[in-house]
Amino acid sequence: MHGRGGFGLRLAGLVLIGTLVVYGIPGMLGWAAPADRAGEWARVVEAAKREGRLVVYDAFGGAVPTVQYAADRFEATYGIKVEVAVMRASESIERIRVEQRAGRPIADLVTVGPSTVRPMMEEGVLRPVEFLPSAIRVSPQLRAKMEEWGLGQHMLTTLVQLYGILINTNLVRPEAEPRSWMDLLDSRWRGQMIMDDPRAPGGGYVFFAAAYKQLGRRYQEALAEQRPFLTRAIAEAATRVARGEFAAMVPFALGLYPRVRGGPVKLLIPREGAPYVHLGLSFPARSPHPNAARLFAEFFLSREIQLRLTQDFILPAVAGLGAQAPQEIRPYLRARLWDTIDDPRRDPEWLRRAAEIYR
Amino acid sequence: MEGTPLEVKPSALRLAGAALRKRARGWGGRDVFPIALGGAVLLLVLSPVGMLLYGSLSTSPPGDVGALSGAGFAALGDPEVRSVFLETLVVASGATALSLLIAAPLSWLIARTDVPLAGLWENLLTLPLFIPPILLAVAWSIAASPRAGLVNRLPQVLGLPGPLVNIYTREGLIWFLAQYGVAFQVSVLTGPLRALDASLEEAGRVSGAGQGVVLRRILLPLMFPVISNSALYAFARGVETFEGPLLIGLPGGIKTFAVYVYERIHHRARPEYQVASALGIAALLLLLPLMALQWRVVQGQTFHAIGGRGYRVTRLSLGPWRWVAAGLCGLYGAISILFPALVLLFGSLSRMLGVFGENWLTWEHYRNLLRDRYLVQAVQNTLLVGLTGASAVVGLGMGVAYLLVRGRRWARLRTAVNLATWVPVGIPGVLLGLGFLWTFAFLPGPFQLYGTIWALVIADITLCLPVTVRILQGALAQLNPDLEESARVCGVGLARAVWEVVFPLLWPSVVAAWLLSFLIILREVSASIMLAAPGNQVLAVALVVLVNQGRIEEVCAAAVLTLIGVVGLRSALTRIPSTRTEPRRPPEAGR
Repeated sequence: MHGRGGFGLRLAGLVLIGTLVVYGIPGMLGWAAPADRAGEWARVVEAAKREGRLVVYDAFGGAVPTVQYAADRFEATYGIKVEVAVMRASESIERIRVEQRAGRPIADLVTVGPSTVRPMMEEGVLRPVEFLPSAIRVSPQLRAKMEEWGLGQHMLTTLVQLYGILINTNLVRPEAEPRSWMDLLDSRWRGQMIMDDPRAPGGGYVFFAAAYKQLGRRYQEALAEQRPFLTRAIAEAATRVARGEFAAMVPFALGLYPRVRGGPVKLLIPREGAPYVHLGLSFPARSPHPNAARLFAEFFLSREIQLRLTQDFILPAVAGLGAQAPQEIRPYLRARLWDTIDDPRRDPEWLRRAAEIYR
Repeated sequence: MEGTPLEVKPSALRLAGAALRKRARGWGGRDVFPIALGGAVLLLVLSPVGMLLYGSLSTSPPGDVGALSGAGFAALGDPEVRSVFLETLVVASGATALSLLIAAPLSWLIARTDVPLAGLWENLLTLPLFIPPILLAVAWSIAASPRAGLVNRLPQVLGLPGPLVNIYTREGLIWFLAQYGVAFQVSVLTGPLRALDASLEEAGRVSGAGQGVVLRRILLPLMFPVISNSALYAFARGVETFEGPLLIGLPGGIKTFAVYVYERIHHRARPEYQVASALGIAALLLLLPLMALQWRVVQGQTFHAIGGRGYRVTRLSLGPWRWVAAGLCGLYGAISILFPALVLLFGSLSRMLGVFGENWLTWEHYRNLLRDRYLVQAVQNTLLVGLTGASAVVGLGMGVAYLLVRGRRWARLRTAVNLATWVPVGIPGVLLGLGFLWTFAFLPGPFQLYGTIWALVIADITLCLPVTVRILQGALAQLNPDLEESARVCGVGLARAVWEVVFPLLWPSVVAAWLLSFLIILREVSASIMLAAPGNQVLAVALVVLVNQGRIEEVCAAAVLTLIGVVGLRSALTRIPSTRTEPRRPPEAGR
């Protein structure tokens, strides 16, 4: 009797715990039951198809070609027309602010980085990222970082840009190739480097913050003494290295490599690892096609688009897919992630520091 | 804090109303034209500038609640700002002077002498206008960068100290800007020079004056409105131009005003709109006195070179020197035009620009362009915006030029309109684009222009207004008003007199103004990138995307195709009016 009663109690207890796990805890955390979620998502897809159109502001300035590829594929898959407007990050911030303030929204989605999303959040022109079935597949480390920075609610990480060094093989002998970030302090590199300007948000700033945190201020000061040529025209800078105007580009966004690959250039990841930055999507507070925007964000996390990123030398945000990159690209995408920017709330302070060092 | 409501006494209102009615009683039908035209111009120009002024005085940009603050203008006291202003002044003045020194004699050779192949030289010398500055800058980097420039490889091979030429210097930047200045001035000067009545020069010669005296005492004074207008325009462009200083100046440590403003917006953790707007307004306020001075000098003087008594156009015979003259035109053309054009062609056919190896020649960039639906749509949009905008601005510019040159009433309005037509060229494009964005987005009432292609058209009309008015104003100043007054004496209305008499005589300048406007619209990026909504993207923005993606070879291919298209369009345009202007075309005609 005791035994049966105990079993019954245990069973009841298990059922209760099970019920709590399935319904209670997710409910407390704001998660709906899978069936509800499936139903909700089906309604989103239907509504997106009815909206029939979507506007994306590509604030990467066209430097991530996968955005346009995803737009084309999305259109082919769902029959929803995607219009991509390419602009600079600062332009996207102002356009979205103006549209939201004027009550004349055009953009449904905007591509962002941590330094772009922060001012938009503070302006109150973004809405939180709503439920997406694939959001859970984004690498936990990436999600944890976004939560740490307080951006998790407003930015969906979809990709990771890595940074290395691009060298001209006609100008740099194999034995002189930099194996470490420290090697760039060798006198042979004085006046030979073109550098993504660290004094403004972008790849140069990511490298500045990462190397500063890892190697200290003295490293950046010594690097500045090498008199690198600072530029924001990063794609053009890469072609200048290919043409032999400069021996190396530092840092070099791996996503640009397909453009210069046929030239006398070589991509190097120093032994310490690659600086990196999270990039993704955000949703303007008011938008004409909110469901199409959600569906596109979900589509960006699909296996098809995430694998396509790897062909563009960009690390997918979905865990585990980097390992499925094409054979020749895999070593670059599996490079050790060295470091990234500090909390974007401290961007102004870091940028001031960069401006002090790189005059 | 609550503000005190403004109290207006009914008697004051009555007085104001009475004054307005009294003034209005003196108005007639002839006042409708200047008021409407002046109002349209002031509205077009002052709306974005007003927004910028607001931005410069408020701690927050339009749309957000900010406090009144002079912090933006306080930045003018910054030593860095002062040094940037000084540098800009040196570069813009140098480029204007150099371009005038080259363009004036070359235009004279083309228009007033029997130099062989004059038509070819005219077309050749104005070609840089068709080349996007970013490409010309890339071409010069390939040729004359100190490290890897083609001309600098020679001393390296010979073991001589180099570099031979360094484009990344102040002089290099001045040369770069002067190329556009020369092209602009040749396209503006040749029409009016060609239209000058030869009897004026002959009268000088008959009186015993030599060619130099005729040039100094007759030609230059007659051409003063055109030359001063185009030189001022070139100077203002030198101040606000962006791409050349960014790509040629900055590598050599030369930072000009437009680049500095760009950095304050795009290279900061948070865009510094207040400071940037204040700098733009300050630059405008520094330029306006120059423009007002030019207006004062031109006002009240006559520059009529074409009168109602019939006139002759002759070309001075240079004898054997004409081949030397042709050589000079050819030499300048080869250095400044053929070379970059060849670099573009070369770039468009290279697998990777500046990198040689096996199979380095390819047609694939042309194929890629023609397959790119985004680009095809951008070309269609550009044609719509370009054709509409250029035609509209020439129509508006014609009216404004007529008001400024022929108007006798509304002196203050004309002065205001004249200054207003300078404003768009006095403010860097990156700021004006912002002004337009704020204007169209916050347009009150049911007007929904933001996000439509018409926002682009209106912005482009405003941006092209300075060049159109300058060209037509200069050309119109040369026409004696007797011409249309004779027509009116014969019973023809003003509109028909302008259409039948003035317009055909101005046709070369009208063509130049239309083409230049079309080219400005074709290349304009700053306003377009802020205003173009998805689906309304234009070619210039599409090219920026290609550049950002590092697809410079495809940009070269697009430039080559554009070049061919615009040269074709130009030759078609110049052929249309040959019958209307026939009396002025042959060397000896019209009497």
